[in-house]
Amino acid sequence: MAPLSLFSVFVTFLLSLTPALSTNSEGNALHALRRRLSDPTNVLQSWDPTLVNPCTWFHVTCDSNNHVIRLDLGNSNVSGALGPELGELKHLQYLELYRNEIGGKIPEELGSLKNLVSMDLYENKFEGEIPKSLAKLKSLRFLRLNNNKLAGSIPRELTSLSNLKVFDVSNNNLCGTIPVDGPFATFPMERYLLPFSSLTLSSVNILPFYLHFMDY
Amino acid sequence: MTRKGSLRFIAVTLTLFLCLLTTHPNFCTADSEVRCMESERHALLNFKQDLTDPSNRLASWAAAASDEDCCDWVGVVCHNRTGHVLKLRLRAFYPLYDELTTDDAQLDTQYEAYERSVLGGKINPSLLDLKHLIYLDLSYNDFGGAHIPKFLGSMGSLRYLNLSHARFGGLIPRQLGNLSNLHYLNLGDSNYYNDLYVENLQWLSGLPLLQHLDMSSANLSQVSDWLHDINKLPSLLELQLSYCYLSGFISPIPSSINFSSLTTLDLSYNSFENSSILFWVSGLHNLVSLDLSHNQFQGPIPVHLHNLTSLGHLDLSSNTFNSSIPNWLYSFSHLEFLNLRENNLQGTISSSIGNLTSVISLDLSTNEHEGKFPRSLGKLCKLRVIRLSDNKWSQEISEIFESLSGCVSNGLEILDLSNAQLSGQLTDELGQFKNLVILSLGNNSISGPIPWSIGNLSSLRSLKLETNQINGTLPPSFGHLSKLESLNIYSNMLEGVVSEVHFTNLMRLTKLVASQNRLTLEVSDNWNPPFQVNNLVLGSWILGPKFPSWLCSQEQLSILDISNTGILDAVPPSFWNLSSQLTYLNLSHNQIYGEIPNISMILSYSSIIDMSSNNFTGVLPCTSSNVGVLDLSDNSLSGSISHFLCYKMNESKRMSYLNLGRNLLSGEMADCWMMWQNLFTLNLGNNNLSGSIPTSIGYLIYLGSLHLYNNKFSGKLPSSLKNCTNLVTLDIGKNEFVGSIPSWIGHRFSSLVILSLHSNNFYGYIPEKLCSLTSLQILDLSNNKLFGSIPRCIDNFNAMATNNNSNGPLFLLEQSIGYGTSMLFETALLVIKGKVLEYSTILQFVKSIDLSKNNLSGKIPEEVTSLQGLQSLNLSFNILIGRIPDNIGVMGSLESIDFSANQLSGQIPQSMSSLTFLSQLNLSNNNLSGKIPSSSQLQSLNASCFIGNKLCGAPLIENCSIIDVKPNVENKRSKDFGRLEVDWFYVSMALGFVVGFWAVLGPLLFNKQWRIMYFQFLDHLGYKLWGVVAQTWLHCK
Repeated sequence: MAPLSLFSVFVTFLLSLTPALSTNSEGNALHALRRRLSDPTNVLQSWDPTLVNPCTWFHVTCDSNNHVIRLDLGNSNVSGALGPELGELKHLQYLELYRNEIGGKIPEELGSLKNLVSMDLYENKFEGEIPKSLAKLKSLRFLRLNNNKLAGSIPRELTSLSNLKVFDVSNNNLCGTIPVDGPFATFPMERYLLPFSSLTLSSVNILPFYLHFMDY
Repeated sequence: MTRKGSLRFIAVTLTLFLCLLTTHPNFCTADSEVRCMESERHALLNFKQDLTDPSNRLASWAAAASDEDCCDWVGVVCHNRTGHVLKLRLRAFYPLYDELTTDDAQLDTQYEAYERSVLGGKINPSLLDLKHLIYLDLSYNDFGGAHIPKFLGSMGSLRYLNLSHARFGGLIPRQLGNLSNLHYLNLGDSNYYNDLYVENLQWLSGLPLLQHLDMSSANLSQVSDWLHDINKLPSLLELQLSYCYLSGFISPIPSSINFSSLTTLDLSYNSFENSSILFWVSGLHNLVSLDLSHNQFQGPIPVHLHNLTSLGHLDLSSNTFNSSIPNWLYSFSHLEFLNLRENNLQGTISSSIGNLTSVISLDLSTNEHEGKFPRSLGKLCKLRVIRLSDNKWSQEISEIFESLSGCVSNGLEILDLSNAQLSGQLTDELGQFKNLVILSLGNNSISGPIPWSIGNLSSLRSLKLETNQINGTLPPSFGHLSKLESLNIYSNMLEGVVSEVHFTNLMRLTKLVASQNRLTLEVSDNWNPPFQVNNLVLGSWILGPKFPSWLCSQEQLSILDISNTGILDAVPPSFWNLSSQLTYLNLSHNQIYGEIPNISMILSYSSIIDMSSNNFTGVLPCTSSNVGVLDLSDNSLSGSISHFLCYKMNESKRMSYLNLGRNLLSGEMADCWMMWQNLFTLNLGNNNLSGSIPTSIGYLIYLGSLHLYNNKFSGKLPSSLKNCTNLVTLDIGKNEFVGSIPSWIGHRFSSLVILSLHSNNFYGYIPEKLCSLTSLQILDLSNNKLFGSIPRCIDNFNAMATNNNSNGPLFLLEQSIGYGTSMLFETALLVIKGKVLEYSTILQFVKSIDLSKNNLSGKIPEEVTSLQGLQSLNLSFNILIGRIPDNIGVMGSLESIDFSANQLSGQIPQSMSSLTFLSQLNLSNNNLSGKIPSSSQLQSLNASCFIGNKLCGAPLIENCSIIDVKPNVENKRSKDFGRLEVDWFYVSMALGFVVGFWAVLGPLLFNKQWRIMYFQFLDHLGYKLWGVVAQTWLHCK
């Protein structure tokens, strides 16, 4: 009897979870993003939170299971900051937010975007450090954070990103040394292009650097 | 001045009082010996004769018995000694509405009784024979716009004349100025039915004793100097000029005000703008009541009012005062009624508000106030009404409850804090407002559960908590609210079980609006609710799986929404009988099965019936011609639609919205559209209907949205369709239509936004005339048999050329249904980004062209690049040749491009790299060559987008060989150095120069002997050269 009731409790528990699973968490996450962003040119006007999913929203692409796989907001005049809710987009492959005025920190939660292939946050106003959590993005091939105001060093942990093909953190306020393990080691220095003009050796350890793995 | 004025006031009051004392006892002496005059009796009978009296109010005014004493007649008051008729009191009793006490149903009955009791007709001049008449009251009757008789001006004894609310019209006769004894003149109408006007008010100077003047709703716009004329009334105590078309111009303003005894001034509902004209008001020190509401006063609350400290009633609502509340106002210690609603008042409220110790009613709603509401509110022990809604208080609700928890809590009757940016939780302190009648807390961010103490609010009649984040269960103490009539908890996060206990004492409940919660109703099968509700809105509750049979006991239902409530059952037959009174019925999104009987019993005007998304089977029910909206879509209804269309052919149908889509309907469309002229939306999509579109479709001249998508309709489009010139959506894709695309679509359907003809057998050219559709946003001609080239005039599609979306959503229906608004949006299935998606609420933003799967030839016209608002462009599977337009990069809104399976050649234009929103691209299977331009966007796309060409570079695996590489022209805006590449030719040239230079010069620099030898060699060479030159020169000479 006891195991049976335990089982029924378990089933009830599962049932109680079902509505939660079927709710529009990705749409909610994106709508939360919309609320954080200032959008003078109305590129987000189609983001209607009352829809069952965000798949018809402009600049959002879903897969056949109505999971968001792309967010294309490059060059769209938005400003503001990103929030932790972006981490809800578990199926996201392409996060294209380049050439905007987005500031604040890169949320640590972006590290939970397990399927992310490309993270293009370049030419914005991001501050703070590059979150170590990005090391969890095992599918990541393109990571472009250049032309922001990022500080601190390049996390060692990023060396575990075995699929990384393009890594660009130039024109930030980063310091420390360039990692030499993992994908950073795979490519010999001759295949990086280092713009010497922007390399200021006068201030020791402050290396605005630029790494471009040409091998894609 | 003040003292003199108040003395006069006292004197006048005393006189009136004495008059009453001397006359009053005699009114009541029924057994008086004195009888009325025969002449006056005649006069009254003549007067009666010209009146209409449907309810026979004047039955006692009988001509038959000549010995009858007219002093005993209804409404007649005689002098006790002389027997002269002194007063005629013939007012009809208009029901008064009071929010706190009036019962809606009772009010209706009272109003009907009133309408029966009104007198009308003509006013007979026989009244002139009542020489001693001092009091005439004909108010609240209905004289249907008749003129006020001029002869009333000859009734010189009149002291009281009340013709208010009696629907007199025309010019107010100046002869009224002859009534020199008049104390009271009321020609006003607070309901604004009167149609009176004056040319001037000079005649007022003949009424020196006038104390009360009400001309509300008479048009005084022709009187420029009304204040001068009023100024001739030194005895005036009350002045009411509401809705008199008065504007700001008073010229010139009198230097002194003679009517300084004035206690009541009402200038509401006029067009005053500049508050400086109010400076004369500052002299009215005795003013007790001031109403300046519903004008256009601007600027700060006028400082002229600051010494009116006797004010008990101040109404400045519905103006555009934009200051904060001035501090002097807080010192008005006599103020009982303060209304400042609907202004632009700003700033915080001072804690000095606690000085308004007399205040009973405080209304600050619909302003721009912010900050916390001061705790001193709790000192205002007389408060009965607090309205603070529609401001930006940003405060915790518990703080407000706490500050009101003192002496205020006992007397408070109305508390309106809706839409006031309140947060926090409801606390148990709620229970102390024992006399609360109305509590409105809707549209805030209140969270947490509803406290049990709510059951203590035993006077509560209306409770509104809608659109908050209230969670938890509904406390069973609700069942104690025996006076509750209206409960609105719409759109919260309530969950758990609601049972019979919750309704135990709710006998008076008439409105229950509770949808958008996840509450479960658990009642016994034979539950007989104690209430009879009008509005029952339980959408998204859990009521099923059985159909809630207790609904059949609700005989007053007019609005019923039990959509999405998990019902898996048939509808009991008794329910269908009940529905005869419904104006709104929503059973949608359940799994209700069985057949729908003919819904002919629903008689309410323009009723809405939504039974969509269920499992209803059987044939289509016939409906009453009164049904305005019928949605039976997404069921399993089968059979023909002809009997439905041709039902009661002699009756014009009210219906404006008909959706029968997604059923199993079959057969042909009968030619019976003649009586459906009110149709705005017709959706028959996703059925098995066949045959051609009948000619009578042309009768639907208001049709805006026509969906016949996915049926088996065939034949040509009938030319009568031309008459449907209001079409916004024409969606007839996936049928078997033939013939060419009619060119008249271009000029007849000038409002067309969506044109979808895809997957038919349309044949021939795309008519150039289509380009006149300047509102068109979605053009889908794909999968037909079209040939020829893409018209170059497509740049005329103005709506696609811009990113601006001035249009609101494409509404099919927007109807208010008692508790809210029901909105239905246009929908369209579109293939965008390679997926079929249904667009509705955001359809107005979509701009798309799909010409794929035809036999279109020629080049892609350059003109297409003017369509810079276009989101999706699909030209795939045609036989297009030539290059992709070079400046395709200017089409910055493009998210999806499909040019696959054509014969396009040349390189992919560099400009394509600037399409930063591009997320779907298919260029496969063409003859394109060269390197794929590089951009974050293009590199992120799948390699399959480019296959079947001679392309190279990322994301293809094929590397471009050196010669193929052109210098990369990156988008000018790019500051990205990522694509900076080195041309090795120039590198090696420079390197060669450097090596060569130093190979020669280096040794010379470092070896002295070599250096000497080198320069000796140069010298020697120089001499030799000079010798040769000189010799040649001599030789030539």
